[in-house]
Amino acid sequence: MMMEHRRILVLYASQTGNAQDVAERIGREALRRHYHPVVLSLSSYEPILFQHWLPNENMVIFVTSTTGQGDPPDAFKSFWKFMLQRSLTNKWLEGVQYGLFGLGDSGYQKYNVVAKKLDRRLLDLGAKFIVLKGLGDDQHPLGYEAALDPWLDSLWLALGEHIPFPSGFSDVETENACLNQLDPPKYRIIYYPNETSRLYGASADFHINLRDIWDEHEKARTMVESASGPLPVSLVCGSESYGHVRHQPIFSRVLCNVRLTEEDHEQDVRHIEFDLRGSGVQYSPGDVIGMMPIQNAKTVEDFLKRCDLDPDVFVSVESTGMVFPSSGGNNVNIGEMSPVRIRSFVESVMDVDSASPRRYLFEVMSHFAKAEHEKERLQYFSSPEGRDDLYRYNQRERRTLLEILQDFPSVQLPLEWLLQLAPRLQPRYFSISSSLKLHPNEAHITVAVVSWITPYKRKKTGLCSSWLSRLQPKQDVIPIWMTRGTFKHPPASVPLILVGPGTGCAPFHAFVEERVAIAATEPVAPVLFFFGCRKQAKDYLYKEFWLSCTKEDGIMSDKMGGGFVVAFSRDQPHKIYVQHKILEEREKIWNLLSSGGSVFVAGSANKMPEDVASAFKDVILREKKCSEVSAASFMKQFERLGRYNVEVWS
Amino acid sequence: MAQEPAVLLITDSVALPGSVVLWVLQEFQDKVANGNSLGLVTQAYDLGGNLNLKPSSLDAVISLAETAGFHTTELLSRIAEALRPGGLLIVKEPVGRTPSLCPNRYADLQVAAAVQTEADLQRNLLLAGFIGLIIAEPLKEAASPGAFSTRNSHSSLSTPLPEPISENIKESSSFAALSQQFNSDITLIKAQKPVWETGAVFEIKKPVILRDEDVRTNVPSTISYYEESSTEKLLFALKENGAANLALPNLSIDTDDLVDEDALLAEEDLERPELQLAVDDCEVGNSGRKACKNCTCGRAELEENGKLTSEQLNNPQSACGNCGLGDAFRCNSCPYRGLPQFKLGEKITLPGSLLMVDA
Repeated sequence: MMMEHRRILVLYASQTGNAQDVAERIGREALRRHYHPVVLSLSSYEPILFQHWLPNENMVIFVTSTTGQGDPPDAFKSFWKFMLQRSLTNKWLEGVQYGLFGLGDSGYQKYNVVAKKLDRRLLDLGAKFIVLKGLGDDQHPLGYEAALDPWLDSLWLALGEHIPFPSGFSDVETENACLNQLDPPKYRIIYYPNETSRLYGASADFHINLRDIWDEHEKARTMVESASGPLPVSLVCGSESYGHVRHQPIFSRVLCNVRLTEEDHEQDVRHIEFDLRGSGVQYSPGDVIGMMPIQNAKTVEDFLKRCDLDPDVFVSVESTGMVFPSSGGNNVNIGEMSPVRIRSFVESVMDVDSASPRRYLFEVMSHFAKAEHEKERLQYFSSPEGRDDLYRYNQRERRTLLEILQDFPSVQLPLEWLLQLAPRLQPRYFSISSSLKLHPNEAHITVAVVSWITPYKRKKTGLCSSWLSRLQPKQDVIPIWMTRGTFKHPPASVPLILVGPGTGCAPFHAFVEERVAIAATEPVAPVLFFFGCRKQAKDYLYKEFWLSCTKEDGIMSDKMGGGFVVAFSRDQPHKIYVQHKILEEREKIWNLLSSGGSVFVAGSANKMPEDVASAFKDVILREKKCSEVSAASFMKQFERLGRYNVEVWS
Repeated sequence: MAQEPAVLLITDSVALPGSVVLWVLQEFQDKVANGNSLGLVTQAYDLGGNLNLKPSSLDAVISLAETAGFHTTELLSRIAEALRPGGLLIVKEPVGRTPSLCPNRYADLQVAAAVQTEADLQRNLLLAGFIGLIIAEPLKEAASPGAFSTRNSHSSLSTPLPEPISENIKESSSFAALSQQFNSDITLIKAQKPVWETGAVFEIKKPVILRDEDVRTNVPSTISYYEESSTEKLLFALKENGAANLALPNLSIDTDDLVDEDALLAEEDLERPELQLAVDDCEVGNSGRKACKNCTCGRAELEENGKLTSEQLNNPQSACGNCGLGDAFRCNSCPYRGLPQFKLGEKITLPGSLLMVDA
């Protein structure tokens, strides 16, 4: 294999698409600087390629993210397993130069550990870095781009030194040219005039059939995904699912939709029940329901109008392959995938009025702005100097694609760019709060409707949660699927310590229901549950259920060794949270832990998981009367053994 | 053939003292019971080293030779084959003081026997694959004549057996008892066949060469030698020549043979950045930070300006000219922040989604 010296292999492992964005940006900028980038997802880079080709590469850039619990993205896993083999020597990657950028969130304990471990391992195997690893941090006000921009600068500088420039180009000229160039787009749209569409059996007036709509949406999604590059691992949602994957969901009727919090309480929390009859699906406590939110019909119309798109035109999407030659993107044979209406792409692929797009949108928009002041402003936003202002305008305000397009009326983006730059509509997941044993053929969820005021005093609501809150019981049917969550309900003989403030109580509602059902025929171990909410009178979720389990021989009763402790944070002038209550109950906790108990913590991210972990450590410290260090290693052991489990969501 | 022997006594003399046989029976009674017998081979030199035994069939072999040089490597290898893994061997042979000048071959009785030294005998044992040699030698100042002490072989090439100490002593004393049967210029060596059978697989730990500036825990640091396997040599050669089409050995990854990934991280890797929030970011999310009563930083003024008067709503004006263009163009302190676009001079209608702050 001829080694071109200007070839750069960019390997990324992305869970939500961020790492892929970064990798593609590196690819674009490399192209502009006359390198030959090849951008590939690690999930498509087979072990046989690792063994053959990786040691023969001259320059490799790795981009990987770290998820909340310090785990790597799915795409990273088999690559990592390969890399960890003892049989690889410390000379295996000799001669390979690399750069590494990691995306993480310093709000979590295991900040960017995947990138850090990869860096070390690469060095162990004999590779040499040309720049220090870059670590992007979601907690930074400007997000990971704050770290990415300077890292990229140093990367291009270093590359310029390691790889000689092609003759005829100068460094400075290329840098300047970079700022003004419009890259070729990722996608190519092929239009099908109305006549052809009839041949494919689709006509303009559709039967309003849920299944048909779903199928067409899925087709649109699949088409775009396969045109984006090698099929991502997450095409089947979650690493383990039940056969009812995203492609074949259960069309489930809403049985009930009840507000659990008081009407005058600031937060609206819903209890929603879904009908699973006829689906044959089974789930266990700890599992999760997935769904694709439906965007507001009016918003979609506004968007179509603003972008001058005819929703009923049939198109198909393929990869141009021009940006990243030999990137191995699955170029779908047009004949195999029948075309889909533009409306479907807008409805199911593009998030038009909820998520915020990235900086690259503004850069591309600047090329399509007809008004001079708009062009200038867009160029300013895309520049390093304008980064702060862009943050204030875009990320902090959660500015949506539609809003941005409305703010820059002279910009008309072609469909292929819209597809590339719109944030991808993401599925949402909710912990199931019911047990099949008590509610056969049903699945319940507990959803807090997200709403907040932006710094500019605009009211915003969460796309999925507000859609769910409007669902009509007995009428609406929505496509859902089941998938494994992080939690696995242990056998009934294991004592449980559960910490679930707010909607974190949802999976535990399932755990406890399951145990209540089992307790009818067998002995079950006790449960100690720490719940937290703001006010006893306002948002005490599932109060009757919890209290019923504390009576007499209930599994949360004192008599059986269990317990139920609630922290009401705002019922008194000083804040009382679950972590305070945990410390108070240390004796009971220690007893349960000593008899083989496991701990489960669920709820919103931010400080709660950390504070709770710290409280448990204190419990160990005091009950075991040991040192700080050994309490910490005790906790770590617990985690390793699966006796301390955390599932948090933002 | 009647019963399969579990223990074999070999001697090259015509007869053995009965006490020896009794000792053996006593010592190995658990092995000799259960239908297994004690086999006895006399005048063994006639065999020419060919014992004709099934491999891995014997628990113990006791080979007592009157002739020097009897235990050749070949014979010992045959014995090793016949022994079960972990099986015992006791050899006795008269040894000489000086190293033999002729090769250790025992071909012809008529030729003067090749005398071997104790070291030679030990070597032969090792070459045949025995380990854990314990040698009985005559005590220098013996309390009683014929008293022997035992010592372990000092050969650095043998791997010590993981035997408990107490058992060792017990065995040594019975062993010593046996050795008392013989003359003092005769060496008695007890050896053991390794516990593993031929063909067993072991992993060889390859060392991870530490970098100079880096000290990591959990890495085996006492690797004394390192050998590149031939596969790697081949790969390097290929790399140099640029050839990539090579049929490589199978790629199934043994999950037990992975480096511990947590060991890759040092203490400092677990640190998280201290974020100095240069940008005032307390307004992300729900509640914005309000100005203090005695505000000096200007936030109060900003908030003042944030409130629009009805005059401003009815007849919006813009000094900079940007206020009407929308949030994308407005200054940070613009009072019209958050409002949609409007035309200068025209009344602004507040959209339903906008909240006006009250104090």
